[in-house]
Amino acid sequence: MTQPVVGSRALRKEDVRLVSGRGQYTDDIQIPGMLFAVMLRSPHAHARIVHVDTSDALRMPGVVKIYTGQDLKAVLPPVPTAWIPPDSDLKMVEHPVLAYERVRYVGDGVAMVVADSREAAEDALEAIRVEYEPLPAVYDQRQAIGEDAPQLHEDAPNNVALHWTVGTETEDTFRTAEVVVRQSFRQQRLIPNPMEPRSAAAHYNPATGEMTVWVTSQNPHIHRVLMSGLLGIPEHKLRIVSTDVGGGFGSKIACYPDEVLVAVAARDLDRPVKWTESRSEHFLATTHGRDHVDEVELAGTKDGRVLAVRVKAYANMGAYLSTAGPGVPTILFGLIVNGAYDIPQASSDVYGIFTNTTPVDAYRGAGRPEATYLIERIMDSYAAAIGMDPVELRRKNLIRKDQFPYTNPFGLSYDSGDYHAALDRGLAMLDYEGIRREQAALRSQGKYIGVGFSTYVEMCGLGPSQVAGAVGFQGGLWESAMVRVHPGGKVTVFTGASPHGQGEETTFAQIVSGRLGIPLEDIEVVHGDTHRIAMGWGTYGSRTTAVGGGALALAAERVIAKAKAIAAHMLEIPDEAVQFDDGRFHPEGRDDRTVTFAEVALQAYLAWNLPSGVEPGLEASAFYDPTNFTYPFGTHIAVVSVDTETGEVRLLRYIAVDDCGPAINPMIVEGQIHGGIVQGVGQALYEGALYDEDAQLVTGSFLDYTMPKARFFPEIELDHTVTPSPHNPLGVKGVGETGTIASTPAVVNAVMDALAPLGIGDLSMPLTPPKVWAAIQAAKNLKGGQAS
Amino acid sequence: MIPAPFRYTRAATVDEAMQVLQQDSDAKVLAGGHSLLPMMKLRLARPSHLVDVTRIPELSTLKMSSDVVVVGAAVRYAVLSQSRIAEVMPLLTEAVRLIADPQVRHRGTVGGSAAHADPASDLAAVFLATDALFVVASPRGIRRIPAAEWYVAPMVTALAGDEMLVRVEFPQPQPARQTYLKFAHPASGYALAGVAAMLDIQEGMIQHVRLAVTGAGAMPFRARSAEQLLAGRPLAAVRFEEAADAGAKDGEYLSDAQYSEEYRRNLACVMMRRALEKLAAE
Amino acid sequence: MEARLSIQITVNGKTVSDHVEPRTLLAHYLRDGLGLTGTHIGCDTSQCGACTVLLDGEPVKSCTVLAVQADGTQVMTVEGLAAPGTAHPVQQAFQEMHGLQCGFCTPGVLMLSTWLVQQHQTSDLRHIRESLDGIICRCTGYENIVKAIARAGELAVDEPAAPAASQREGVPS
Repeated sequence: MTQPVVGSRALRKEDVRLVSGRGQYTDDIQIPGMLFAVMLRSPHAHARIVHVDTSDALRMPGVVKIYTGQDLKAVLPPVPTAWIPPDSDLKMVEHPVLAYERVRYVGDGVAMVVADSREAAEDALEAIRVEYEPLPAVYDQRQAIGEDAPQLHEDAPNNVALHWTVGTETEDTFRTAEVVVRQSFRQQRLIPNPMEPRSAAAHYNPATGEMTVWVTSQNPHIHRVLMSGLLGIPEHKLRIVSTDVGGGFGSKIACYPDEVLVAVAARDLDRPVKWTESRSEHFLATTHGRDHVDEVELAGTKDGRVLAVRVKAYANMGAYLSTAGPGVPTILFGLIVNGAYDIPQASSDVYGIFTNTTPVDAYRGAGRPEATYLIERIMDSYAAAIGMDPVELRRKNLIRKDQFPYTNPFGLSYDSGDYHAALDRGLAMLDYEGIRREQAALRSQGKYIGVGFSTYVEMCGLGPSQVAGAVGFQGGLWESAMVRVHPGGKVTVFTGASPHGQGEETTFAQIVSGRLGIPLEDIEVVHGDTHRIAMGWGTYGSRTTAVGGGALALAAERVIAKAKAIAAHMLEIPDEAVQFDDGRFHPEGRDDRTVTFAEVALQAYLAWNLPSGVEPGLEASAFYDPTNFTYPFGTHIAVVSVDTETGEVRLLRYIAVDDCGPAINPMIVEGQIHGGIVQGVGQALYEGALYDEDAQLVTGSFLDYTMPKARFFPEIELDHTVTPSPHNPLGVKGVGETGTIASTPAVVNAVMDALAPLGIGDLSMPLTPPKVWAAIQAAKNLKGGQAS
Repeated sequence: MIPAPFRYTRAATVDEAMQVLQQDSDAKVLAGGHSLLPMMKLRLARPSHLVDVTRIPELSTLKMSSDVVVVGAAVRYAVLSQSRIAEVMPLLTEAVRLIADPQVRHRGTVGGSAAHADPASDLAAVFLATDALFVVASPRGIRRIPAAEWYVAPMVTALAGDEMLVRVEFPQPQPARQTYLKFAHPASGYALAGVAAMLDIQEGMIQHVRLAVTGAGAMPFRARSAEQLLAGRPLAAVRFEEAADAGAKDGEYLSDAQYSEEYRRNLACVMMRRALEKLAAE
Repeated sequence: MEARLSIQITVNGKTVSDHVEPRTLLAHYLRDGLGLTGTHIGCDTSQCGACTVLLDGEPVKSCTVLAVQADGTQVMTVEGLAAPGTAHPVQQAFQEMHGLQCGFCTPGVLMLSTWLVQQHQTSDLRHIRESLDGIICRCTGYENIVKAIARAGELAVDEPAAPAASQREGVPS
């Protein structure tokens, strides 16, 4: 092999089926006799259910059965949460699969219609009559903990779901610091919107007791654990399949009532049943992301040395606790609010609050974007307060290369990095002095451009299982891999990770190809099927390559070790004298006698002449538990213009220098960064869930919730530095979320930089044209008022 | 999401289509369907009967002569945008090219836009600025409704229940300098402010001037106050900003969750001024 | 339920005759009726474009076309772009440029791109971005979709462009 396959821009193996329409997403499942389910969802944000009348609907043609909350409450346990942060006083409120007494958000499930066609099911849905007694509703978390706020759950007084504090003492520092900067931020609620809506299809075989559920999941084994408990079907009889999944971004982690209901109906009716949400339903009934109100304080010196940072966060949990919901604003947020900076003291004080809104759970970055936004925004405010250039301030406070491993104030051990190198590379790409000159020249013409920075670090590669247990995650976070060599020398890889767009069918094949020396096309990567893969924890938290890839590297090494023993026997030389490269075994230093990998594989299965003590067959498993998280980092830079007449922000340039360790496939890494950046810019400029006074979602479709579009963006400029992580066999750090984490504050900082001469200090996201325009008008009026 | 059940008739002639409309007061005309079908899928609309008019040959007419441009009601945006009408009414084809997206432009029709009467439709500004005539058929015969009378209320036109839009006529000649400028809603692509502007300048004097705004106001409107400030005045003596400001006052604005009344008025004003500046610089 | 109507559509070169309810959407007919599940449904307001197919050579959102409206037309879906084992230039370009990740919006993007290539609208990157107004992709940030479309234009440069219906019609006499 001339080019090493690891590190190459190999074309994706999964693409062949995906570009020809031959993928199999959940809604593509068609089984003879299949029924269709639709969910009746609450139109009220908060109401008592007085009566549900299904009699007319049941008489409609094609209707097979209708399930209500009253029907199911005695037979189905509530939907559990799987993250219980310690010392957080988490209120484990009941989340019924269908509401039976009270609905708590618009979209809360009330009934399920099962019919013999999509049409019949939708028609019948309209014929169900529900009598509601509306109750006062609250969507804002700070109002929800205020006096006289509507109460959602009896066992969560004042709607407080959790209260969690962590960090060092900071009080003395704040009392004596030369400079204290205080700022409040709102990080708006976002709607994940993977392009594939959620879907579930279930098939039950009463003779074998085996249930198969196809579901749009990022973690089918977690679904199996949770659904096994809910359905009372043991894990060996419950098969969860999530092979082709059309994006998740965190919203397909949770176990939702819907897939449980579909399975219940399939078992009850002895017919396959399928449900697929509409996009309108997705807006209401799939978990949302972010929704923080944060108060941040930074203490520092006049010459730009940060001494302490503390954060008080009010996180909206929605109406119920979603599967990973409680871990997001606590563990994934509160432990990293110091960002990439060497700050001696820091603390986080987090309230999770119930409101009459869709439950909030992980959304690309999950907690870490929120933390990064706060520190990156307040660093700019600090720079402005002391009259220092924001780049200079960052340079002064970034953790230095010689400080790694660096222990942050919360006890996290940052693995490795050269944060200054990434910053320098980004500045060189930008031509910082040039852009500042251009900015000054344009300002004198009444035109406003701005440049914004984000020198971020991310905690990912989740993570050591011991830590998972310590932070209350109700599962392990190791990963499994099995490498099975077939007698013909081709390989099937089984991974417990569950990629859904990230391309690990290719990168994992590259890892194996690089180690076993066999071509990519001879390796097939299997994922997303609990009957084919023993166990695993899925894909989220930028963990798949770091942890799943780590497991795979170990499994491949075990295969090689066994193959070497067999090859040595075939070559009639001692084990330690065998050299393995490019898929061939030969005596060390000589290649006149070789056996190929395929020949060894065949011998392993024929077993005619194996060395003593060596079992037939050639496959190996590994369960890899990392020793620590990984910490990708980098510098992102946005250049924007603001049209002061319309308030429109345009992204002129976007530069990203990321370090995710060595890239297995740079093409795929770049794709992850592109997508992440655009998604993060979506939060900065375009996206945001809006509720009206009755807690009705106002932005409930693509007509009013602005998804990033191609025309909003310039070409993205990328570069990389490479600092391996010492924490896993591949040295990789993870890259699925970095773009989203870094880009939001970079863009907002750029807009604020552009508007700084007008005296505008902060605006809440998204920075839409009317919001920016109104701020400019207010600033002008203020200035005009002062002048006259 | 699937519409509630309905009957479907593919009309071969205008008479056949009108017959269905007469027989069933809940019947609706279906052309491109890109406004109607999404509402039906969400079950916000549930007509009992759809009359597909897209294969009535008469409705696909595209004709231009020295005194009129005729566009059949079922002419799709994509067809119009590539037609030779650009040579005589660049305003129309410019606007059509900014409607929604390529896929929608291959289904959406001129008549559908007019009859749906969305107050943010791009073509509304063009119809108003050009004094277009809507030619409608009914059992009582043919009548022509001027654009100024067409838009009655949001989503409501002057069309009676048994009437059907057959074609739109644009009188010729129109002022030579024409443009359509749009500030689009970033999610829906509809106009937050779309300005159709036309201007003639002869020996430094502004002759004909036409300005109409869609999207910004509760209803699309002609900015007649702006036109009055500009018509017959020397180009060097007018201030476009002042004219746009006056013109914006001709609209009525409403706030919604994201776009305030003030912002909408400002957009109308800014886009009008920019359109005028662009035409004056041509 | 209203009476079913008979339709005849040529899908990917094969003519099919069927009876459908008037309300059956072309996207559902292709997926459920013909088993062509490559065409995906990503929204219900005609914004996302995942369901884009070519109808008489032109890109349309099949979730907003009734199957009865497609009677007598030629429909091409992603399954019809190339014979199994071969790749259309657009499919090849999307693989080369990493123009897809989860693949869900991809069939619609490919069909729109096929039309852009046929119309020779792939040389200007800014124009490509604007032509993607009817597409929502959550994975790629569009960056590599734009590059893939430009690349498809290069790959297809030797192939003669098929004129779209809107070019054939619409020229006033």
